[in-house]
Amino acid sequence: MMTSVARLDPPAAPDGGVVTRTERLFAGRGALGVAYREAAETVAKHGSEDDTEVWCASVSGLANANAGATALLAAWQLSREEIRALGPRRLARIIEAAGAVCRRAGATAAAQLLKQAPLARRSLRSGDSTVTWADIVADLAREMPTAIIPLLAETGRVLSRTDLDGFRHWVESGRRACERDTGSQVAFFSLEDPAAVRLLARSGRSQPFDRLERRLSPYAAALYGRPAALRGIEPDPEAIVPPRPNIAGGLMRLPLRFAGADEIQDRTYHAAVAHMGAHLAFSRSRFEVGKLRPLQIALVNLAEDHRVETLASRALPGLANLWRSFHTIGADTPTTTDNLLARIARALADPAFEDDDWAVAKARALLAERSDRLEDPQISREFGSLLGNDFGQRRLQFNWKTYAVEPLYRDDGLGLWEFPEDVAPPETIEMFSDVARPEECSDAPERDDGRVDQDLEPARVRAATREDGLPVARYPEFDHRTGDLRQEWTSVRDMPVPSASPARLHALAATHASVHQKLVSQIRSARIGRSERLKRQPDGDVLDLEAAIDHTVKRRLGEIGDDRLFIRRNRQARDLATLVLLDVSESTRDRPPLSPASVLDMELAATTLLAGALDDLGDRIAIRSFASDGRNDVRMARLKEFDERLSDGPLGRLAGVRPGLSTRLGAAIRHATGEIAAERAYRRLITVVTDGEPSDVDVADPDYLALDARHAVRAARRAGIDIVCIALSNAHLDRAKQVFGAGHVFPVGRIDTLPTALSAIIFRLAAR
Amino acid sequence: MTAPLSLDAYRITEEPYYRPAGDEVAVFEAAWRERLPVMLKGPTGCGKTRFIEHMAWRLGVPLVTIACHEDMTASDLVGRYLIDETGTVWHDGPLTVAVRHGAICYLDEVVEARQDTTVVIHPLTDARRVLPIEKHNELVRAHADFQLVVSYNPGYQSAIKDLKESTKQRFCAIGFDYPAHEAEAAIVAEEAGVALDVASQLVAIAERSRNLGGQGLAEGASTRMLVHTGRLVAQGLPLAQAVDTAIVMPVTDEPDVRAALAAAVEACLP
Ligand SMILES: Nc1ncnc2c1ncn2[C@@H]1O[C@H](COP(=O)(O)OP(=O)(O)O)[C@@H](O)[C@H]1O
Ligand SMILES: [Mg+2]
Repeated sequence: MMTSVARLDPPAAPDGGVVTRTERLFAGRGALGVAYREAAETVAKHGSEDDTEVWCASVSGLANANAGATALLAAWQLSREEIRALGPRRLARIIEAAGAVCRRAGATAAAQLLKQAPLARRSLRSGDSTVTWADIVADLAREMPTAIIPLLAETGRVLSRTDLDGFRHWVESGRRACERDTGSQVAFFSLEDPAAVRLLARSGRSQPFDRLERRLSPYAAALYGRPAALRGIEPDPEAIVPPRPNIAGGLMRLPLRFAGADEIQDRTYHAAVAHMGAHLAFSRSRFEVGKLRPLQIALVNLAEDHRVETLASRALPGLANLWRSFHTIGADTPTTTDNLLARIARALADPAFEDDDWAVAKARALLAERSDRLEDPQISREFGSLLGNDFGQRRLQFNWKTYAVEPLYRDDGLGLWEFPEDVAPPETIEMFSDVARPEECSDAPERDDGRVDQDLEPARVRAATREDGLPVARYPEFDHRTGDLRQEWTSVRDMPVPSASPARLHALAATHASVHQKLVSQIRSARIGRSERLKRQPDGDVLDLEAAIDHTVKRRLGEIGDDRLFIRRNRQARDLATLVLLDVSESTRDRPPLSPASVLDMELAATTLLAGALDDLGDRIAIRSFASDGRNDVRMARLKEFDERLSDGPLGRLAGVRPGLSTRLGAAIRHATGEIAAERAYRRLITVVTDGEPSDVDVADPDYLALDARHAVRAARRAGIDIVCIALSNAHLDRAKQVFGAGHVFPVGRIDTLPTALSAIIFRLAAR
Repeated sequence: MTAPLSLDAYRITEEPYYRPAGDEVAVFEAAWRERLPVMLKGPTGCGKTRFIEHMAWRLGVPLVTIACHEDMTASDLVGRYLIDETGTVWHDGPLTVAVRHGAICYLDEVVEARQDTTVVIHPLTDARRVLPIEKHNELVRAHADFQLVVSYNPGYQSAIKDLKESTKQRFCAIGFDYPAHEAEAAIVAEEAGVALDVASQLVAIAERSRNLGGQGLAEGASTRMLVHTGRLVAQGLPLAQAVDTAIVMPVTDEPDVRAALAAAVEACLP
């Protein structure tokens, strides 16, 4: 052994070379020195001298970080075991990362990193990714040292659920979600926190559901003439059976991905949506549970599935083919209850399927006898109780806990039932309670995603009612520190709008009647479609006299004249849709220095006047207010719709606005962009009326929200939407300019300067 | 003044095939007898143009059709001076031709024209029945056979592109919509020359797309689109491909909506 290592010592180097030099660190430490030599030898065998030197340097770095025997031994063990897979250079980088972890989070954490590296490498299936993984952990150790050991302990679980990018995003989410609270850090990174588990499941490659959601909803609408609200079912790591789709109060809930290959995901989602759509179209009322047991309920569902599919296929024969292709069970499968249910399902869907089990034959017969009553859901119940008795006599066991309806695309059927009364058998009640939980909070799943504080308490989630507004959309948010768009980071809810007497606003409009007049005339003459007189045109409204004379003269002289003799007036109608986005956060309660009115009052005045002028001219204008309470609670209220005239309805809603909460500007802009993008107009304008400073309770970095908002502003402009800011407080003008760009911010200190600001805005629109 | 030869070109000599959906023929005839201005209201491609062609044939009146568009000016309707060897000559526009010599003047998709253009029809729609031509310094009295008919697609308007209230109020209106399933299938079969069951499948597909009207699609597939699709099928194209070419692709550019529609089309085919 000594000889082979001696080979590594460059003879010319008087101090004995890096390997030996490093070895001196462990001199007199017995086993440690031996283990070092063994590892160094292995590394040397698999790389150049330079490689070995780099590796040695990393080891001494680790030793100098006070890593202690356990960590050092772990480094060498890792080096011996993974040398083939990782090579000396990558090993060195992982050991360096361990050194960094050691300095920040201690030797135990460093040892843990080194011990888990082989597992990480196997999960990530790439040496480079393993290095990056170690770097991410080391990076996290800087801010959250206590989270490292819990995180590394779960390496297997974490990496089995995501890929490297997903891991990076997930760590970043955790970092943001629990900024300074060590308790929640540990809960998050140890996966004790269910939100962490859900985020992890969503962190990796985008899920098929996310990819397909936007086409499934119009698909359902096309098939059945009613739009479908879809929701993803977050994976439950504890679940025994993979999730099936289900119907909950008109919502179609779908797993984020179906079991099975990528190629069949599209078809499965379409089959599932078509199937649930058929239920919503044809299962008119819910079944009473009565005294039915789980097996009977499963049988009723089976018949009901068949019934609605048959009805739907009458108009849509292609669906029958689609659905049939999912029935793959064979008649020769063991006669368990689950198999038998699947075989009956197949027999009903596929007349060509042969199965001589008498239950299958009976099922077919029962439905054949009732084929003239297909419109009547009652036949499903009859089928269930008749066939259920036969199953009972055959003493077939049924365990609803492990049962999953077949084929894959079908919903669990429980959404078709009333929640059981007390008279129902206990196991039936248990079966329903088990699924009732997700159903209850299905209206507010947006709320609990990734938020790691008290708000996550299920009690809060369940208490979410209509007063809290309906979640309508989720938006990404831009993180200037990483340059990443955090997917689905914010959620916007549509808040109910309280109304107040519009008298105040009427009075206000009356006081500013002259401003109103000015605005009207300014907008009317707006150069957003000024007419031009085009001379010497081949055709047009009036003769171009000059050209005509020229022409005639030339003709008389025997020359060839130019026969473009007309003047054409090219006029475009003003075609402008405007969405006013009103900041109603707490800060708008403030009164700017020297101002008689609060920011909010000035906002309302400006908005009333602007809307009044546009409304007078018949232009389309909508008004939304926004405020936020953390990223999962961006509240927007619809004060006026595009189609609505500015009558007492919208004015009352404007008057009812009360200031409160914070300003998550980016999310509001993204939502407004989506809305106005749907408008058919030549020019589309979002006017943000604000005091200028984005802020929110869950964000400490003052640049974060401003730069996110800037990101949203730029995206809107790229989509061809104009976006400007009317700033009602000079205090935050710089912020507003940072977000909207200096040329797009129009400070309005007093109401009578509004027409000036507005003409500047219109000038900008016209200038583009 | 005698009717110039030119109007003969506007006479419809062969019966245009039109399958009535209700009593619109009788209603129109009544309006014709009173020479009342009529507005045909309904989504695009549902048979409004075909109907007026049929009525013009039935009543034996020439039909002058003007497809309205954004850039259309009053001169395009009324007429303008042109230059020839000797100087300027006045040239009647199509509206003036119809007014002077007696024809049904059909302004197709009248909302497309700008509001300041459409006001020239106002004096023709009240008891005066005259067309003042300022530039020519003339007041043309409408011929006894003149009638004004416009078409209008109410689903296709925005605040800017809408008819003035004062314009709308001058017309009687007949509502059109896509025909009922059986009727539409019969029309498609007749017009495209395909079998009734194929036509019926096409109608089922159109109905899916109409479900998306306002939810991803501005409007669903029209009867006209179905006729086109049917013709492609009659030319030997497989049904699925014809539907893709003449319905799914033209109707939207939005990839998700298109995918949804394509999947719904698949659901309609056995
Ligand atoms: N009731 C109908 N009878 C006969 N053909 C019809 C009928 N409705 C629609 N069509 C067919 O649809 C096509 C489009 O109709 P058209 O009249 O051009 O629509 P629009 O309503 O846009 O004027 C016609 O060319 C014709 O083939
Ligand atoms: Mg079902």
